[in-house]
Amino acid sequence: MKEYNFDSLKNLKAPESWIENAVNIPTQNKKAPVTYLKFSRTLAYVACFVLICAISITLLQYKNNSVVKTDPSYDYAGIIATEPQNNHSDNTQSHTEQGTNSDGVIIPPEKNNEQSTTKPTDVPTESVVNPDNTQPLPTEEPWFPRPTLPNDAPGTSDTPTQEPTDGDMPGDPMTPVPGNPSTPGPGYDSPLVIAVNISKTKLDGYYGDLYCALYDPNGTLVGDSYAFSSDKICLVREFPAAPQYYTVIYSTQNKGISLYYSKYSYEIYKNDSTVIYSGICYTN
Amino acid sequence: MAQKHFAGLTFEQVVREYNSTVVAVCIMRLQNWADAEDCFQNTFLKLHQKSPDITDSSHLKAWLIRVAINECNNYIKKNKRNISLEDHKEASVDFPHEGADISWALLELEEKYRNVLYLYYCEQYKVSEIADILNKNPNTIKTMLMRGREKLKKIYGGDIG
Repeated sequence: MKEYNFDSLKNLKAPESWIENAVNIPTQNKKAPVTYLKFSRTLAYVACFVLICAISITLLQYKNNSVVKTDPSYDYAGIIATEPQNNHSDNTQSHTEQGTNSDGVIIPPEKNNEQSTTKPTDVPTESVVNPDNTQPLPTEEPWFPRPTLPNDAPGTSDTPTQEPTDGDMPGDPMTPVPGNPSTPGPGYDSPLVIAVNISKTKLDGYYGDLYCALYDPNGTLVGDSYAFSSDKICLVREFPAAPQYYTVIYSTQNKGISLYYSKYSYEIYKNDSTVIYSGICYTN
Repeated sequence: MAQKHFAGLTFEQVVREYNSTVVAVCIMRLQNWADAEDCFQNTFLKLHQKSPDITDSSHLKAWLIRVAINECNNYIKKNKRNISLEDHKEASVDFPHEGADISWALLELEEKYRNVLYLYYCEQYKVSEIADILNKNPNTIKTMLMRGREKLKKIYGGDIG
């Protein structure tokens, strides 16, 4: 092997300052031993893991408890929106018939399109065709019993503000007030609370506000007291017992609405005025 | 705290024993004193931190060379610079251009040949040992040696055997 003259390179020495600095490395690193660096790294990993878990839990909670609006003053124990049973004494409104499915769940009838109603001009109805106006068409969503709210739901209380009338239990179909429900009564001070379970499929990805329009038996919109458009906005809740549904809740409380009749009809509609649900409810 | 020992030497003894090897490797790679100092310090810092269990002095030297090369490569990547004599004339390493000493020509070689020729001619390593240090195939080392010699000849204009 031919030797080459690389003497300069071979004799290359590091400056003395470099050597001294390198020799002092053990003393300089006493304050930051390897174990400390390893601990710091482990701590960083744990912190990242905890942060990711916290974010995931927060997102899951947000997804499970998606609430459009909440009002702690609502007493959901007083939810009473139901349809009359077949033993309803009032036979003047044929569209009030309802049946039950095989599970015994009350199926509210579709609204009678021939009923003369005065609707707001900005609310086109999504009419459900009833060809012969005899047999009611079952609605898409079956009625569920009054939803079971979590114990910490705002507004939940053991004592409903609306005491059921004699013979009526919560969840049972309401017995109509004797007399012609189309005639105004003395007025009801208790708020009317409507609760409807609407399938998520029906909403088809709609995440905007849902509104409720209330009509008296004459078809007149109970709208004079709707001083603010926000008075028509419903609450939308999601309950673990019925994950495929949204529970749409509307109350007349604090909206200046005077209830003179024992029976009202209502429509739930989207912000483009598309009606997605209609039904009949009774006051106590 | 008990002093660490490497191949029977204390840390200070290792620094004083192998500082010329480490600085030469750094200069070979970086061709710049300022940059070489950082990698020089980092090499011995790694030795102190990693505390490899080395009992043989030859292994210790090979370990230091390998770490020094890695530190230089990391330094270059981090700074994203192409080290060249033209860019770093102020702090560049100058070897005499006179006499039979052709160290200056080695610095002008391409980077991939510099380390191989240095380890072969200056540190007297065998091809297999160089392959082990640089983590390359021995045949690759042979080829790089051959090509390196040819290029070195062109640079300093002499004969190579």
